[in-house]
Amino acid sequence: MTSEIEEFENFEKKINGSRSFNWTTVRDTLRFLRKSKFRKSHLVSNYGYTLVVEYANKLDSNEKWDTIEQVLVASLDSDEIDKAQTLLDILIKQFGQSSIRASRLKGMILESKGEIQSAIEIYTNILEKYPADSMSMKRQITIFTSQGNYTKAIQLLNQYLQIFMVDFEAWLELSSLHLRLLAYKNAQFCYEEIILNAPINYIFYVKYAEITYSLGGSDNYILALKYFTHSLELNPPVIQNQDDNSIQIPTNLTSIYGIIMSIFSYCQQNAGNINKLKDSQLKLMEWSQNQLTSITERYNPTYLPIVNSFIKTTKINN
Amino acid sequence: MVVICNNLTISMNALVKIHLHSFKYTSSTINGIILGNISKNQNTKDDPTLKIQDIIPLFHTNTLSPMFEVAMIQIEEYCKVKNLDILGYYHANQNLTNELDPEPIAKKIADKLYNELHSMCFLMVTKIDADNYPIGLAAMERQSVEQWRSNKNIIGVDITENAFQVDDIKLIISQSLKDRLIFDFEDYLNDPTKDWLENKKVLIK
Repeated sequence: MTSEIEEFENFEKKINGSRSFNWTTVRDTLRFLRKSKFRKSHLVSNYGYTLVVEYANKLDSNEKWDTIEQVLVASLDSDEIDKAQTLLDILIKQFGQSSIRASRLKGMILESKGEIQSAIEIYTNILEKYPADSMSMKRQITIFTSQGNYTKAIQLLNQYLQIFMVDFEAWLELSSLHLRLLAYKNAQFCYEEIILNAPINYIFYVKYAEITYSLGGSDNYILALKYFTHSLELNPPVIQNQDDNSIQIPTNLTSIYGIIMSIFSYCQQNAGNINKLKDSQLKLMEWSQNQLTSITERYNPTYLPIVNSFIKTTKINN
Repeated sequence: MVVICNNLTISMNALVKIHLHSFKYTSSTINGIILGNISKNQNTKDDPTLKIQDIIPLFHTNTLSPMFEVAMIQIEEYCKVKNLDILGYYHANQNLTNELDPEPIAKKIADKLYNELHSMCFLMVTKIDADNYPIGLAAMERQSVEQWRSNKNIIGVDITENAFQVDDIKLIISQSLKDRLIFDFEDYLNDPTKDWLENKKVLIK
């Protein structure tokens, strides 16, 4: 099975490799990006713009409008406001000024131009008509984030989450806002909600562990250790591919390093006393050190001296 | 006494790496460590010059203590091997609106380095525009605890190592961007084959 990243890389190769503009490849790539929600703005605005402007009549009518919207947002991301404006004109011609989706895009263009007040007005108008329009609410929150007014953004996002409690992407955003203010305790709470929503995704356990570690203190180091370890149960360093027996590249080095750091810092906190550690924890430390060495030997042997000296620096036995 | 250096020069490779890192993750906060040498002037009253030779890109999402500590331990070892010193820290905010007002984590890290190094620099990545052409970096000056302000110093670019002119930087960045060859510490944690310390593939010949 190919991963989505590999799938994207194939698309990217095809696009960059073809000499002339191949509209079907571009269409398929954009279709894939809409589905997978990867943010590849440069690519989308570069190739997508040619697609929707010069090859518009080749796209089928439903897909055409979605694609235009996608390219518009991507061009805002790449600071190409003129392109976005041209595309908005096409959309307004088709759907009229009253279209909510089009006016939201208009708001986003105003935001990029720095006309924040007019943008806020647009979103407020939409919300007066449709109070449950979550997209417009999110835009309002983003405006405060982009202004650097994180406290206000957090306040609005909390209101949003009282209505849309299961929107775990919103929880992620809230936690990243808290992290930016170095409010680790609040960020930790957000990740508890996220883990409840997505209990088998290893990455959230890793983040939870990292945040807990950042809080500091013996208890937190041990708690972080547990979460790092659990994330390695969900995403172990060695995964054998069943089809061809090949081994996938390990993607969870954070947790291996995390285990070592948690135990090391715990000992530092307790004046280097390792007697408080359980046997299982000592074994875990040894296992992580071995994993680290063998992963480095296999995938990046030139780094071996550096990694070995890291292991030496974080040794606890003497 | 700690000197916040007024005399700074940066090599093209370091400059390109910083901007490639920020262009690779346009929508995120990015940061990294600055390496180089300190050259003391003959006249001891003058400030020493910080010669930035290289940078090591670290993160592009959140910077949290455990992995930051891991990176720093390895960078210290790397510096010993390469005979370089840790000179400071660079940071790009997520937002363009407040690009000269470092996010809290940046101030915290800069202060930490300030307390540990003899001479250091703290650079914020900015837009490459008329005010700041073509460097796109602003040197920060420490006011008090966790307070930093841009000191409007000109940073010299050291082009002796290669034939490129400073004006070529935009071109070099856009060419190398195509392959997205720069990898930071966070990329390495997700894929151990990545060369985060040296980033040999982006070096200009």
